[in-house]
Amino acid sequence: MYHHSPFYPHHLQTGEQDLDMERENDMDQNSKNSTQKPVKREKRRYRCRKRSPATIERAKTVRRDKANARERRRMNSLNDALEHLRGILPALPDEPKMTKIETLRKAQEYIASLSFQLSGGSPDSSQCCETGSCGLCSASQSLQSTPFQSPCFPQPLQYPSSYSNPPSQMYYHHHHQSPSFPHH
Amino acid sequence: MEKMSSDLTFAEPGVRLSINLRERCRMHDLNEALDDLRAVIPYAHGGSVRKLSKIATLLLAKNHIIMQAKAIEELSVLVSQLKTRKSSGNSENLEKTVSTPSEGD
Repeated sequence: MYHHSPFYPHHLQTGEQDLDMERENDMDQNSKNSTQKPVKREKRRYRCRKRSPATIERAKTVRRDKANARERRRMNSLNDALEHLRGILPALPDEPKMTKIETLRKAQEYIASLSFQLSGGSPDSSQCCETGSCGLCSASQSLQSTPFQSPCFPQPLQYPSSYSNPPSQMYYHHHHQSPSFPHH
Repeated sequence: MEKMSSDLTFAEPGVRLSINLRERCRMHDLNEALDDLRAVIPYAHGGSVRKLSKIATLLLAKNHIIMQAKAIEELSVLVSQLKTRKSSGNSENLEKTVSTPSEGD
């Protein structure tokens, strides 16, 4: 039945007679297996496996090491993402590297100011976009609600160079006094 | 200057507590700033229950900034194009608007 179905792992399938013995004592099974010919592969489940204390300790260390490596990789990816964000934000070249909290705050301000510009300079543009009811933002709303599908902008643009153009500079009436887009 | 935690932790248990408190405040401020960042990113709360994860907000923020910068550049190009087109074909347009009544806006 269950153990003979094609979906049950084949190496664990047993003959009819062994179905009862699966629940029995581990020792019985072992003795039977040792006297019998090892025709079938062992069908012990993991919880019945015999482990010495040394093996257990080793397994614990292995698990800890794997977990440490996983956590290290996660932290590295987090830091890389933060670093990318730092690189994209407007910053003066002689400034020391932004701290974590600084980049988060600056990123929020920068996104808010970019949204402000895209909404045509209407007040409370970020809130307008959240409610989705402002008529002024309707043009740029498609941009803001679908950030990764922009059919209007198929061409990849060289934005680092473009920000030195005079027309763009007039948008920077905000607190961002840096004339050039991040130099990275 | 701040005291080295290793030197005085044993002497003054209060120092450890204040260090803990400071760290907790720092983490709280960090998380608050992260939440504020989530607030300006689209797709972060379209009625969905799950908050965006840390790594997701950072990556989305970066992409969003890039996208907005491109959009602004594209729009300014369009605006300058419209300006040149308007100035070059100005006389024609004026004649057209005078002769034909404007359609409903």
